[in-house]
Amino acid sequence: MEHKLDKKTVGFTLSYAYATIFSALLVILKETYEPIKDAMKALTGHHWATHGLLTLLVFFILGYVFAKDKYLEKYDEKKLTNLTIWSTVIATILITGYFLIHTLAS
Amino acid sequence: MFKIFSTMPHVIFGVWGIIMAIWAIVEILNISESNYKRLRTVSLLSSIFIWISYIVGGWWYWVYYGAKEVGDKYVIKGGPWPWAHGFFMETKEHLFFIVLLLSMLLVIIVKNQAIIHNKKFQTLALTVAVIVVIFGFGMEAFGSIITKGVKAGLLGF
Repeated sequence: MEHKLDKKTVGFTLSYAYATIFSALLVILKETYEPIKDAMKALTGHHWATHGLLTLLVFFILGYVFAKDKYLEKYDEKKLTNLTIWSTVIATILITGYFLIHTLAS
Repeated sequence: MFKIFSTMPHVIFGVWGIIMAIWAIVEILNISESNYKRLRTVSLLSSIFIWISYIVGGWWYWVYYGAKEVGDKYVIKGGPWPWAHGFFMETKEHLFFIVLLLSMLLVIIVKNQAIIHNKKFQTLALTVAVIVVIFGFGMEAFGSIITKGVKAGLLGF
């Protein structure tokens, strides 16, 4: 048996990185530009519900988009581990940083 | 009364999700053919519990927490700890998505049996599970501050 990565692991780890950064940027966008928040609210009834839905959609769609041989050849376990850590760190800084600045300013 | 008790599954399933992720860490650290199936089971359970916590918490947040003028959000904002909502709740509700996505990613990663003999693959799974645990505990801590914010708003201390 080969002890190698598979397409889905690569695809969904990459899509996690994209989805989590997308979610963080969407937080800043909707909180700073009211029409976006209103449009998100209009879509499901609550901006947070739409936010979750969009983040999950990005995760699932990109997961299948990236689950291809060319990405499997390009990424190894170490790269995926670093990508997971750094996308989490960046998204966390963006979200906590935004609300911290917003809270301190108000 | 229903309002108070119906928020509890959010917390309880969140804790169960964390416990299952900790269990997954233990299984990854001792991975072999004999415990591989158990690793897959606890990883799946972690994701299922976190999903239940998300759905219940989301429903409660939508229906009760933000209820115009009477919801906890307004109690907090009108009280001495408005930052319990402004920072802690706002941050928590958005960081939660990271935990939700990672719990599903863990299930996908451990589905590949190569993890049994591939150390770097184990490190990837371990990283994901550890972040779930760290952020899970963070969610619990933030939740407790939000609850204190409501208490401060009601009692006025």
